[in-house]
Parts: sequence; structure tokens; C-alpha cells
Amino acid sequence: MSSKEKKPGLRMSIMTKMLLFLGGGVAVILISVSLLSLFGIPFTGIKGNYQNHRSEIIQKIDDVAQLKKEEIQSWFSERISHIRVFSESVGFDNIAERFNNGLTRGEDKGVLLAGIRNLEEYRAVLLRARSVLRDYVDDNEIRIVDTKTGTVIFSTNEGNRGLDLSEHEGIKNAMLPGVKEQVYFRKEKAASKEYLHIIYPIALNGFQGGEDMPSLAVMFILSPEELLMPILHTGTGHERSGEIILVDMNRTILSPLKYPLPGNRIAETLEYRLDTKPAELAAWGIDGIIFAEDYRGVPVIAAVRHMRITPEFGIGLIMKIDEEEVMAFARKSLKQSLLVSGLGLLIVLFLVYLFSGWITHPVIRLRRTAEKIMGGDLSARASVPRGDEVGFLAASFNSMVEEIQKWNEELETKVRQRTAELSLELTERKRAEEELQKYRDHLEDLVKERTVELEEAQEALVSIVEDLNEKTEQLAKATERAQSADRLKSAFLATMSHELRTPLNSIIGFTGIVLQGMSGPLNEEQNKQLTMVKGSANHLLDLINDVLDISKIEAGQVQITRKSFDMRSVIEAALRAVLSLAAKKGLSLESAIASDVGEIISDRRRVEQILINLVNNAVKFTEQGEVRIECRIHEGRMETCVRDTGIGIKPEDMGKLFIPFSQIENGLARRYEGTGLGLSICRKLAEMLGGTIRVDSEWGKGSQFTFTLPVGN
Amino acid sequence: MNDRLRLKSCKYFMVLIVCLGMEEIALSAPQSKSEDLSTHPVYSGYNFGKEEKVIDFATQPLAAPLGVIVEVMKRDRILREQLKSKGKEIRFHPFFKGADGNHFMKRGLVEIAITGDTPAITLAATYDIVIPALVKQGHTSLIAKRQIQIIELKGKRIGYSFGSTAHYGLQIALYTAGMKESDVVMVPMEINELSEAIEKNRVDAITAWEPIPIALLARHPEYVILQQFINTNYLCLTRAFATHYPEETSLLLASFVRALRWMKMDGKNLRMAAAWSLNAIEKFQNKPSEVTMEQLAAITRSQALPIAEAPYIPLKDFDEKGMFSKSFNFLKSQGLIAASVPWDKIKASLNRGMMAEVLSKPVKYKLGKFDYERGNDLK
Repeated sequence: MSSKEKKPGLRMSIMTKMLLFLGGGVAVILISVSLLSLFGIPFTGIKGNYQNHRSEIIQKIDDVAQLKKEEIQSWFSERISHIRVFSESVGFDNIAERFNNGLTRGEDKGVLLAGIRNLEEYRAVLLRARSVLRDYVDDNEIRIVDTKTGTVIFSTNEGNRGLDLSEHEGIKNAMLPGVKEQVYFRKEKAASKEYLHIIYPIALNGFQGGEDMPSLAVMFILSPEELLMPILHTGTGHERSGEIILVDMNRTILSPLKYPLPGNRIAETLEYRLDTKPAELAAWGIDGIIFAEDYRGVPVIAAVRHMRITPEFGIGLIMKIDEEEVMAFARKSLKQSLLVSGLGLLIVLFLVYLFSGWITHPVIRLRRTAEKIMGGDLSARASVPRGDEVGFLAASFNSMVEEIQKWNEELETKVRQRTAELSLELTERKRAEEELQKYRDHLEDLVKERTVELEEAQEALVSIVEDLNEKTEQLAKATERAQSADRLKSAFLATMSHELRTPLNSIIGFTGIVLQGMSGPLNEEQNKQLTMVKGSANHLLDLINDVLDISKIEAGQVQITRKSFDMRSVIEAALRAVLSLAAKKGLSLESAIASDVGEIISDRRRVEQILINLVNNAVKFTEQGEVRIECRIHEGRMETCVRDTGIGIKPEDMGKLFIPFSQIENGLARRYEGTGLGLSICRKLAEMLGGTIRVDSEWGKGSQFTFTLPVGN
Repeated sequence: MNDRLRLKSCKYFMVLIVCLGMEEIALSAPQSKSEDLSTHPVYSGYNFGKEEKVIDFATQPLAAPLGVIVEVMKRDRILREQLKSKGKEIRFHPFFKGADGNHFMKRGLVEIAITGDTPAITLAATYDIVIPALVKQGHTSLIAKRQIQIIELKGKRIGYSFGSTAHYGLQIALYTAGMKESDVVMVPMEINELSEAIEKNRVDAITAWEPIPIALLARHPEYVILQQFINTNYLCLTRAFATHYPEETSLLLASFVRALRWMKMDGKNLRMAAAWSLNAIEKFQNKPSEVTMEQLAAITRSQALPIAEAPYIPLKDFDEKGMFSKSFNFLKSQGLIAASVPWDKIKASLNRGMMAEVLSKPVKYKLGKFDYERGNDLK
């Protein structure tokens, strides 16, 4: 596997990621900040530089428009003021009167005009007019017009005297009472140039209170190109595309246009009608800002103004700038912002590169070390002499590698050992497998051999089973016969014992009577003989009773009656029964009854019979010492123990103790009276009561008979 | 039908729908405010002279310089004496706006009024009147609290006085920004409620005539006039009155000219007239005026006195392409005048001869003589 295949997760290095994330983040932030600063924050009302610049431009052109409006109005006011002063400061009465009277008399107009030229008043007017015109340009002119005929009777330009202006709208209006200054833009055919006509009617006989109509009008003919238009182009506020246009109330341009019309046509002043929305509004009488297209079809921001120079004459002013120029600022600002952002981004990327290198170089060294280790060189160590987290990581890495190296060595040792063991096991296994193979090879023979043997054994076994069955049947028959005989024996003995006890009781009774001297006194020998008789009779009776008891037991005729009684009273009764005999032999009778011994449920008469039998035996076979009864509750059962210091029992006789009619030692029968049935009866009764009886004895030291009984029912 | 044809058909259909909609507006809008002002809380108490000897004059004390001019005319003893000699007397009735005066003029209760161009044109379109004099040349103004573009008023509340010349100015302003009334929230109110409405943010902008703008901007220099529209006022008479009583008409026109010249003659006269107007404003609206005497005087000086010598109806107004006609056509397009009214009806109401008659006989009509009551306000 190649090193490239070993590191599929390394798709993008940390440095690349840092450059991408940090660089990308910074780029986004820088661009966002640039855009926000340029266009403002949406929905907050916070404007950006572009909007501010746009607002500034709008405000600027609005201010310029207002300024120009005021300048133009002021210029017109000044001109009107000039014409008023001129009109009212000079006497025209004689000139007008001479002309009008001459006409009335039918004199030739030319003669009249020549005549009035010689009037002193005319010369004074001329001097005054020339004085006024010093403030104007050369081709400007002042005329005085007879309004009734429309004839120019005075002019600073001598050649224009006698002109007929009767069709001039201003001259017609001048006839109206009360009308004052009027303004017109006119193009003089001869000069093909635009002129401004300011007309001021003169009330010859005085205006105030007079009834006469005015008959003269002063007319200033001025050149707006030299006088008015410079106002439009002076001062601040003209952007690259900025333009101020004047239109009359019919939207006819009064000032030349900056740009040619579509088709490269030139718009003639006083001829071309500006069919744009700003012009329409300006002519209409609106002061404000509008966004529309201009005569080129170019979107513009325009400030429009309307000026009423006279009640009849208004001028519309349009100050406009191309929106493109405003947008150019945005584009320029955007370019600058992007340039600064790009520069900033490069610097940030460089710094990020340095910073990421500072972070990643130790990591790269660590990676290379790891690759060496992956290649098996566990002696390789990372060298990062730094006290920061990376240095700590490298140190931890080195420690880890050392541990790995150690584990590796241990592992190798273990592997070698295990390999050797495995090799041995392998040999063993091989051998076993060979043996197994051998065994497998002989197994079939062995199976056949064993099968033959098993068949033979099976046949022998069948034979034995058949013998056993036969013997079992014989045994069952014999057992049945024996049991039957035993039952017959028991029945016989029971019957016989009953029959024998009756005469024996009579013998014992009568012998007692005799021994008591009730039938006369007895001599010593008689007394001795009779005492022997009575003793023999009693022994015989005991024997018969025992025989009777055991017979009943074996015949199943003994009834067990379970009742609650106090065990302590039974022990006391047993002790009392042997008290006299023990006293005769000088034996000590002791009892030790545990405190928890009390009421038990059993057959009191049988328990008493067992205990008396055992105590009686103990006293009987003990010549000196003591007989002791101990009673306790042990493992839920009542355990009663009769211990004596008598002759004890030889071990070889222990097995005969509970067999009926079996004498341990014939000699004993003579020395110690007894039927040899007592212990057998005791054992059978104990078993009938759900108990047990056992004996422990040591020859010459004493015996201990223990019988147990259930405490409850 | 190919897609282009279908698109074209759709466009025509849309145009038709729009035209029908505009027609609907044109027919319905004028009626929408044709309320019966006889029950108006202020106007219902007016004592209109139903006898022929009484000349009822509709005035607008809340408009400047109209109110100032009328206050001078109210005190013109020459006029009273001349009318008295003709067996006539004159009563002045103040209205909030010209449209209200129109209402009573159309009912035959008012013979003469000084009013703005929009009410004058709408009255000329719907009633038989004569317009013999130009009263002032000024502006109505669209005012906002800060510098914004008119297009930014989209969806905003604009206070205006319905049917007034300022209403017309607002429509022009919206038109210049490519909008219609439906693009903004129009909040109608009386002229003397506009200032408070914008100050208390009940509206975002207002459109008003003088003296509201000058007073409002004096109090709030930060407020901005977004657009101004030239506004002319006129003196109107019912044609019936002008026809039957030409001499009385001339006397009224002479009084008007005399008032202008008297104020123009001396600054003291102008200030006194402004003070009279101030009193009339406060009396009419029953609260202090927001405009000062100096402001009223300044407005009158700049808007009315320049025409004092010859307050003719400008010849341009007779021109079908002139200002008056433009306003007429625009009001028609906005539905404030029925589309069926011809321009000739409006043109026929304009008259320069009546004023020329008066101006040509300054002695007869005593244009150079002045006699005004200087006592307390007249009733």
C-alpha cells in the first residue's frame, strides 16, 4: 500500500483550509463592507456613499438651479430697471407730439422722422441711450416706438429708424392700459441672431390719474448670447455632463444645447421645441427635481425652475446631469473599494499563509514522523522545540511512540515464545493427528471386534437376567411365605400371651397374698421359695408382655395416639420408675433438660415406655457411677439421651442389640434379668413415632442410648 | 394567433382597462366630494344676501396674499360708497378653500370670489363665470420633513385639501415622479390642519399654498420643499352678475386694483393690511395664526404686488397650449373635471376687457385715491 493510499482523509491541508476559510471570510467581509459603505444598509435608512453622493449631486444641481434662477431673475430685474429709469428719466413728449401731429396733418413719415432727429430733445435722448448702452455690447440697441403706428421713431442704430413694428406683440400689448414691461426673445433676420426685446410703454401725459393711452414704447434690444448666457455657464456646479437650458413657456429653447440632437442635428434657439419631461415641467411652472430622459434620450437627474419675468413671460430653467455620471462615481468607488479589498485580501492571505505555516509546519513534521513510524521506523521522533500546544503534542507523541516501541519489543518477545510454543504444539498435534489417523485406520476392526464381544456379553447377560428373574420369583414366594408365617407367629404369640398372662397374674396375686402372711405365717424357706416363685412369675409376665408387645407391633396391632404432653414430666416419670433400684445399687440419677424442651406432640405412653426401658437397662447394667438423662431440641427434633457408666457393649455385639430374642451374652442373662426384647421394642416404637434410636458404647466404660422424636405432629 | 400578436392584444386590452379605469375616476371623482356644505359647521351660519342689492364675496382668509387683498377691499370706503350709490352693499364670507366658495357660487349665493387656479378652472368648467383679473402668481409647495425624492413618498401619507390648487400641485408632483394618487395615502383635511398634521407625524408630507409653507419652514428649517408648482389666483364673478351689473363689476375690479396699489405704494400700508389679515385668520379659525404679519407682508409683496399696475389675465392663459389650458387638461386627465368639458368653455370665461376698461379710466374708478377704515375689524 502506497503512502497516498494510507491517508485518504487528507483531501485538503490545514493551510489550504485556513487560506480558504480565513481568506474567504475576510474577502466576504471586505466586499460586504465595501458594498455597504457604498450602497448603505438595506431597510435601515442608513445610506451609503453612493446614495450620499447622489443626494449631494441632487442637492448641488438643485442649488445651482436655484442660484441660476435667482441670477437670471436678478439680471432681468436689472434690465427692466434700466429701461424704467431710461424711460422715466428722459422726456419724450415733444418727440412723440411732433411725430403724431405730423402724421395727423398728413406729413410724410420720412420727413417727420428726419425732422424729429433735429430736435434737441432727440439728441438728449440719444446721448442718454448711448450712455445706457455702454453697459451692453456693441450691437445692442435702444428704440422708441410709436405704438399707434408701430413706427420706430428713435434708435441708437440710425438704420433702424422708420421700421414698422406694428405687428410686434409687445407693441400691441403696449397699447393696453396699465401694461408695464414686457419681455420677448426674437431672432433678427438680418443678423440671424437671437435678441432679447424688453418693451416698456410710456404714458406721455403722466400715468397717475391720466385718462390718455400711452403712445410710445421704449424697446431695449439686447444680445442674450453675450449678456444672459454667460450667467448659465459661470460659477460652480457644472459636472462633466452638466447642462443648463432655458426654455420659454412653449418649451422653445432660449439657450443653445450642449449636445447635438440625434442625427447630429443642431438645435436652433428660438426654433427648436424641447420635447422632454424636464422642459415640460419647467415651462409648466414647476420647481423641483425630476429623473427623466433628456433630448438625447439619456437618463438624467434634472432640477427644474420656472421664472416669471413678467406676468406674461416666463422662462423655464433646466439644470441637468447624466445619471451615468453619478453612477460613474459608484462604479469608480466600487472599483476602488474592490481594489482596496483585493489588496487587503492579498495581505490577509499572505499573513494567513505565514500564520498557518507557523501553525502547520510543526504539524507537518509531526505527520512526517508519524509516516516514518507507520513505515516501521519506531526510532523516529518528532522535533518540535516549542512550548505551546503543538510542542506539547509532539512531546506526547514522542512519549507515545516510546511506549509503542517498548510494547512492540515485548510483543515481539512474546510472539517468539508463543511461536515456539505453537511450533511444539504443532508437532504434538501432528503426532496426535497421525495417531488419530492410525487409530481411525484400526477403528473399524476394533469396532467389529468389540461388537462381537458385546454380542457375546449380551447373550450372557440375557441368561443371567433370566436366572435372576427366576430367583426373584422364588424369593418373592419365599418372602410371602415368610411374611405369612411371621404374621401367623405374631398372631399366635399375641393370643398365647394373653392366654398366659391371665393365670400368671393369678399366680403373682396369690403368691403375694401368701407372702404377706394372709394365709398363715411362712417360714424362711417358704418365704424364700415363694419369693422365687413370685420373681419367676413376674419375669415370665414381663416376658409375656414383651412378647405380646413385639407381636402386636409386628402384627400391626399397636395404635399410636398422638397428643400434646410435657416431655419434662415423662423424663421425671422415667427417673421415678428406676429410683428405688438405682438407690439400691448406689447409683446417681441425673437429668439435664434444655430450657427449650417442653411440650411435644406424640404418644406419651409409648415415649414413656421407650425411656423407662432405656433408663431401666442403664440402671440394670451399671454397678457404680451414674445414670444420666439429657434432653434437648436438636435440628428441629427432640433428642433424648440416656447415658450410663455401666459395663458397656463390645463392638462385635453392637449389631445384635436391637434384634429380638438375641442375647448378647448368655452369661449376662443370668446376671441381668431381661427378655432380650426391650431394645427391639424400643426401636420399633421409636420408628412408629417417627423417630430413631441409636447406641454409642465403649466396653467397660458405659453406654449411651439416644432416641429422637419429631416435636410437632 | 402568434405570441407577438397575442402580446399586442393584451397590451391593447390593458390600455383599454386603464382608460376605462381613468374614465371611471374622471366621472366619479368630482362627485366623490360634492357634499352639501350648507350644513357645514362654519358655513351654515353665514348670512348670504338673497336680495339683489347684496353682493356676496367669497374669500379665503387662510390663503395669502388673497386674504390680505380682501381685508383691504373690505375696508375700502370708496367701494362701499360707490356701491351704495348704486343701491348695493357687499358682504364678505370666509371659506377654507376656493372649492367651498365655488359650492355656494354655484347655488347662486355668492357673486364674486378670489380663488386659486384649480377652483377657478373647475368652476369655469361647471358654471358660467367670468375671470377678469389675475390676483397673484405664486407657488404651492410639497413639503416633507427631510430631503427625499418624490418617488420615496410611495405608500406614504400626504395631507392635502381636496379640490384645491395644492391638490393639483400634488398631482403634478406625483405625475413628475411617475406616480398616481393611488400610489400614496391621500389624507384630506382643511388647510389650517396641515401644519399640525405633519408636525405631529399624522402625515409624512403635505401640499399647501402660502402662507403655510413659509410659516412651517420658518418654524422648522429642517423641513424641505420637495417641489413647487406655480400657482395663480384669480378674481371670478358669476357671468350673470357681470352681465347685469357691469358697472358694479368695474367698481369691484377697481377696488381690487386700488388695494394692490395702496399696498404697493407704501410698506406701512402693506404691513397694516397684513395685520388685518392676521386678525381675520385668527378670527376665522378661532386659534392663533401660525403665520406672522411679516410673512404675510412678504408673501403679498412678492406674489401680488408685481402685478399691481396691470392685473390682467395673461395672454398666455388664453392660448390652448398655455398654462391655464395645461392645468385644465391635467385636471381633466385626473378626473377632477369631466372629460366632456371643452377648453372653449374655460377660455370664454377669461376676460381682459373688463380690467382694461377699469385701468383705462383711472380717474373714473379712482385708482389713485385711497380711503380705508382704520378702526377695528369689520364684521
